[in-house]
Amino acid sequence: MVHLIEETPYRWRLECQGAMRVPGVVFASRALVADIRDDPALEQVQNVATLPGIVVASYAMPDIHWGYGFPIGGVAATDIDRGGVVSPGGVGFDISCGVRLLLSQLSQDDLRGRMGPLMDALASRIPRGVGPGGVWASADGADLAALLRDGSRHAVARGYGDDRDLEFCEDHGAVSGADIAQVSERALQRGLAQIGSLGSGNHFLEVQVVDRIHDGEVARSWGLGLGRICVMIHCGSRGLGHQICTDHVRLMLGAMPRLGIKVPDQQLACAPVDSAEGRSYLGAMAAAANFGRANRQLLTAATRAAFEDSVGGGGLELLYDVSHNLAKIEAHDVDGVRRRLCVHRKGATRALPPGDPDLPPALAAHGQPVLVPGSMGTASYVLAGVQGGEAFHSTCHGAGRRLSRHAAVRRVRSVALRHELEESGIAVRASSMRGLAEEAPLAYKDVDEVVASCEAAGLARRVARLRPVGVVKG
Amino acid sequence: MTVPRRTPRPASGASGYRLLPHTADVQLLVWGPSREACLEQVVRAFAATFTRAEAATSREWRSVSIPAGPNEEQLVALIDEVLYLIDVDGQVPVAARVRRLPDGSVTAAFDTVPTTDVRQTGSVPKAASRHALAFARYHSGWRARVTIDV
Repeated sequence: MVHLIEETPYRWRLECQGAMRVPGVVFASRALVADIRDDPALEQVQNVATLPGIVVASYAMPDIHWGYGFPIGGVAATDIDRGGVVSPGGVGFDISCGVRLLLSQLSQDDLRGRMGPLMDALASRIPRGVGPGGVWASADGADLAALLRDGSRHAVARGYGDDRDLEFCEDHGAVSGADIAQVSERALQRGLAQIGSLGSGNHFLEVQVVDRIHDGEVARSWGLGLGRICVMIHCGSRGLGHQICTDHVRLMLGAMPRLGIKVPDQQLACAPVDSAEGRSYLGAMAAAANFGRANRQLLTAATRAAFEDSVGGGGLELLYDVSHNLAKIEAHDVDGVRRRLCVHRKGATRALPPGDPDLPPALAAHGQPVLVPGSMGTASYVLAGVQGGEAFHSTCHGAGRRLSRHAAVRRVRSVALRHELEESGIAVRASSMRGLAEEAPLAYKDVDEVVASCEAAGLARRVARLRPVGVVKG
Repeated sequence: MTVPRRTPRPASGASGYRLLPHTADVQLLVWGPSREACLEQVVRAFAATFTRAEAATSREWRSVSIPAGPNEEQLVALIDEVLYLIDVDGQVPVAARVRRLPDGSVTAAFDTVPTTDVRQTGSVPKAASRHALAFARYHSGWRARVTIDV
């Protein structure tokens, strides 16, 4: 068992041992720590601490759980100018998996008696589940190449949204440095078949209502009034991102003997950022990140069309779109010196503080909106980045799983779950009943506890709580 | 949660698979008298994670070739082929005949059903992870373990 030392409430340390280059730091309440004490996720925090060039600590967010290579909920930064590596496993298979939140002009009362038609329209308009198919079925290779280079900007240029959508998307809708030459033909073909699709697993589209305000000033500034209807979209870069991760892990495993790198888990395969393999991966990763953002933009267009079809519109405007699986080149102070770092966030969300120049002017006063999808049936949250946020300004990305899919299915009868959700006022449109059971609320940690831990640990602060009233799942 | 230490010992000539829990994903444990039998079980196990295809009527055969290489690499490559057929061609491989050629390469003939015909019973896998990947001799047969990203 890994030995955790409670440094302060909500902050725990794993001492350096063996090949670890830095300590591990876990942000969590005692209750959340009790859930993970015997979990392989903590060994994964230790494994990440062995990566060449890692600085400060191998971090874990309060929603940490067992991944492969990196834990999910892990943050690690490497010093690029001191041989720091980039690891595709530190980004995850679903490159730029992320969340966006659309705010409507509707209140819950406005939808009374109209949820059925709205959910049917969303179910009809949102491609999801197994196999090919997407919102932009007529896209060709040239469109795909443009999406990989320009992300949401190309989707908007082709009529799937407006300039405001770009202003409020991380990186204004596109990561720079995308290199399509580093994306395999197989990845391109998987991507072309799925442009504008939700997928399955824990991905979803939810109609939500603002049901609690934690910070009135920020909530007002962001338009999060009590009772307001929102739409949260959680998905990523689909088969394209997964294939890029698979391809580049294979390439790096082949190069590691030459580079003199050994890792304790093959999924931690890595190469220096400043190497041919590192640059190749970052170019392909940027392309996948742009696909992920464009994917969410296309689903936004489909969502607006569904609202138009069923309730005559809704004035859906983007509050923010942020990835929680990504590596970014960022400048941070390490031991008082400004360093160029490659910050991996795998199942962790960047949380920029108030005044950060990367924020849109309209959001700069209060910090970056952090969108935390919870489990269906419980709640999701909007948080805000804070000054002095640790872990290179990172926070949680969701509730975090506590039960495996197997265990969830064993404990939950899907028909009963659906009935319970409907009884509590949550309309469900799911491709698979077992898939619904796999994502049952009891499979997740208590999202209220997770976000409260983030706030108590000084990673972010709570702004508003959102309760689902309609769930579309693949 | 930990992976169970007790795993099946292949009976003489027997093949099979088991789906093991992994917090957000699923692990496939397969066994058989040969590497090829294990790869065939991987295809069955993979499909079993998210479909029930017995009722599907429209079937096709698709063949692929996997180059010679380490056992684990061939396993990951086989899953890559399965994923490609699902995502791009809309065909779910539900079974396979796997043969090894003298040069060490492998051919797999997949028995597939259209995605539109399968009943989706769970979340669709998207990649094969290298975490805890294993494919080696086990008693008188072979055994492989692979974690699938869901």
